[in-house]
Amino acid sequence: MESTINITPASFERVPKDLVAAQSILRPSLTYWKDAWRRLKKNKISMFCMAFLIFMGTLAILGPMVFPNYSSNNLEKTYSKPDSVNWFGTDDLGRDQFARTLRGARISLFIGLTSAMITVLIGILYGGISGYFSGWIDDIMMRVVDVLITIPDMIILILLLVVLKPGVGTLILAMSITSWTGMARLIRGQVLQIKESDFVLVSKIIGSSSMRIIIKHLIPNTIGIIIVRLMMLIPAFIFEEAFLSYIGLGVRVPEASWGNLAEAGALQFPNNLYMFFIPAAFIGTTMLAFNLFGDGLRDALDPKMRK
Amino acid sequence: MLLELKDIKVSFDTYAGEVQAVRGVSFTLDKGEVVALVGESGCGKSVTAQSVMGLLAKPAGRVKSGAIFIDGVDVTKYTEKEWESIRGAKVGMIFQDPMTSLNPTMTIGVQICEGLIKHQHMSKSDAMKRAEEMLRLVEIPNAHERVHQYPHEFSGGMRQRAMIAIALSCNPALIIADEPTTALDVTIQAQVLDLMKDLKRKLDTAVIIITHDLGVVASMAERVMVMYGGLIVESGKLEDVYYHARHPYTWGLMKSIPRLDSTKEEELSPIEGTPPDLFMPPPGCPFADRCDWCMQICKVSMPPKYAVSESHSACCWLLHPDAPKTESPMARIRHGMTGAEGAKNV
Amino acid sequence: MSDIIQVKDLKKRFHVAGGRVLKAIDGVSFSIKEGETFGLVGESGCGKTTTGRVVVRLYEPSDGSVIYNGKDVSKFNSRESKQFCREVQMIFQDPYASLNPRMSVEDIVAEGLDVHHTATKGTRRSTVHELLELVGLNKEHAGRFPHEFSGGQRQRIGIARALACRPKFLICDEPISALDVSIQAQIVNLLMRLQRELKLTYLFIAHDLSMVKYISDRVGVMYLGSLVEVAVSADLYAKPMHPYTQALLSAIPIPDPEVEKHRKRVQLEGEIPSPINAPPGCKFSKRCPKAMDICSKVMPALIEYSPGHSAACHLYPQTPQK
Repeated sequence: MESTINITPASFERVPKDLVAAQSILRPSLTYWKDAWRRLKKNKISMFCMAFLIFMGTLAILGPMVFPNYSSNNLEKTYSKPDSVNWFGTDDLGRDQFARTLRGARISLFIGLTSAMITVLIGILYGGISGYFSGWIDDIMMRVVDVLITIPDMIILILLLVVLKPGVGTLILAMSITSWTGMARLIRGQVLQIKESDFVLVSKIIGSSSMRIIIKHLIPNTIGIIIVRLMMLIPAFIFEEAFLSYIGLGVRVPEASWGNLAEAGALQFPNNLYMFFIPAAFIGTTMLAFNLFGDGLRDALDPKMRK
Repeated sequence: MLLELKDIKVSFDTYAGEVQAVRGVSFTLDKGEVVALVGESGCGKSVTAQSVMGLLAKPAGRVKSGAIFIDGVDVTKYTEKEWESIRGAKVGMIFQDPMTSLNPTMTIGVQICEGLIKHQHMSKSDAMKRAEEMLRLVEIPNAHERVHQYPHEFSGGMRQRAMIAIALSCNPALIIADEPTTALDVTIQAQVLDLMKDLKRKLDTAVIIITHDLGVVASMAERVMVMYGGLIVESGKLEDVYYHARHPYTWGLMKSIPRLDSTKEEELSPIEGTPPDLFMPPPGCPFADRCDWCMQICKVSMPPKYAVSESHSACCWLLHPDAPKTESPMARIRHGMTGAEGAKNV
Repeated sequence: MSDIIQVKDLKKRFHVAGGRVLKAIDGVSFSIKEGETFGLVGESGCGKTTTGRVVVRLYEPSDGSVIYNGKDVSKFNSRESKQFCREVQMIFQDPYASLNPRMSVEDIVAEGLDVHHTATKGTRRSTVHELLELVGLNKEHAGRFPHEFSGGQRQRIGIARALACRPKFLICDEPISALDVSIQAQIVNLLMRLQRELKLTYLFIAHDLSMVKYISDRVGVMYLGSLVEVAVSADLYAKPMHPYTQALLSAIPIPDPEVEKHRKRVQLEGEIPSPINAPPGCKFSKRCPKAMDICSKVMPALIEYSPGHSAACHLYPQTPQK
């Protein structure tokens, strides 16, 4: 080994310690979000799902603008199979299924997203207050949640949907009311945990107000979980809407949602299969994409999986 | 020779690239010897131990090159099945945190029996009897009842004893103890160390003890290997390393630990700086940036191993015949020894 | 030199599941003079961390009082409370948990400045840089995030954060236990230098007696919620009075093979009992090699037997010495 190195008297000259080199950080600086994005990018499935969802979202926004005729009847051409004029065929009143599917995308995604966001918001407020203040406030608030959870969702949903006028707004309201409790519990658990972290205790010792602790410490550390949960809630709501429309409580014709399109198709089963399978496929693939993306997002945001 | 490591290199594949955790480690261990691997976090001591047990985190961790011979057989090529046949039977391991290394859903007795049933093909009832014996061996009172209890019913010290019982159950020739007392209170640590010394005497097991606590090493080990930056920088008998160390890192370590029997007047001189990031390891000696005796050549090329005596060696350019003579600071570091002993250096 | 902090007969009880009471602190009294370092040592369950947290006002005491600069902290008005928050800070043990992973180092260190409005937009950054350099880090570290630093560096960030408020009294709760050996010495030296430069007083809580001996002026030994011995650092180690202190000292392995070989150990039997539903009398009586009948019945008082050296043990006369 030694023979391959040139050893001269100069080799043994003293060199001062290089402490700056010892202290410097070699890897590039990454914030939590940049690091998460980098890890997400590596997950091919998640990236594919993200692209798919962006595509679906674009369809939902632009589609109905380009193909607005989702409710115009054409009684001469009812139940026709997909052809060059009606790419997805027509339904019982001759309406163009393609336009209706695009409209359905907009409605279903809108319902899914809005319900999810409202659920998350209520959950954050309720769970956050309960978890942060603990003590008797937490006890009461959680007992209320415990009671609410025992009431079957279906009963509340049916009641609301029968009493109020059916439609997109009612649907969103009803679905949110029955789902916020799960989110509240999740947030409460997170808050309880983070509240005991050393860095929150330090903040208290320094003299921070509760507001500051919540905004600067609790929220940034729970956002990751919230986003992941949001991603998983959306497909659940899309499905719930589909189910409710299926039993007639959801979106009503002539409005189109993937749910009521599937319902219309199911009534025809086993004839005119295209009427059922096309909206079903849209529901299925979109739900799958959200779920897989949510999975990938969870892995990317989990700090323990870094090394 | 029970164990031989030949120029082992272990790397981990991470997002930033390859982290060379172990960069060429070689040593041997004979039957019944107690050897300590000393170093700070990131020096590669735990990874070295994990590679001897085939416990490297897959798929990121791999033995890049080198060989590990256990009883003459190269285990680096072992499949998982082959590993299972020697883990517990030939090599046992004691982990640092007894809370997480015991299965909370199985009784202690059952956990001890696992190895006995698998390796020694004992029947369940025989294995349970032996499990009770083991608990008595590690001085757990009421072994007869304790054998049916769950880990959470044991205290920290007792859990560690239970782990020792599990590791020793099949009478392996080698035990690897990875920071066995770090998580324990001082008085409990003393009990467990005494137990380990006792058991080693009774069963003549070879032990590799991995720790950063130089006090624990002084009370347990026969030979010491000091690791830094993925390499063994100094190795020798206990007295060699503690009283006649030749590597600046060892000097630095000795100077930076406070001693119970010293007076406050002596300053603690820490080693400035931090250990190198093994993602881009420096080309020369890993300690160069923090070394008070650093020379030109130290930054450029890795020092070879120099023999200081038959039992003692160090990897340092200061030991090159052409290097300037340095006075070992060990004389000043040692307290309470006579001047003649303390002043022995170069 | 006046007392900056006095703890008088402090008690802290926690109620645990099953209606049982955990006496984390059971009648602890001590005082710390301005500018000195008071070490508090003990093993698990001794209550040293709880004591630190009560002193810093994270917990309310169940009984007894904490006196800061002559005034009882429970009687502070809001102005005095705010002042206390500025002047008394704490450094935590776990460098990985004590920094908010989502905040940049600059924001972390400046938290004290932000809360007490002691810096303007202009001076905030320069003050942070000053603090970082004071603890041995670089200016450029301000823009980075905690996960990019080693344990020792994170601990320095924590110290810089504590210093931002220009405190007078620092409670160090096991600040070096989670660090490597050579880094421990760096941090301890840093703390000692800062103490000299900034005239700080320390309550140093740890379980590593060798390090506590090095850094402290006086040391208190706790066992299961009670103070069993208090003495000047050198005295405690040279002439320990309480059997528990003696056992503790003999249990520490010394990094010197010859010394280790010839040492006489005090062997303690058994485990450290749980502080829940502790028995009456001296808490150490069950494990004490020198226990007498009275030990399990009557709690010995902490009595001063020589200047600065007190012990709570029935082996010594129980009437106040004068």
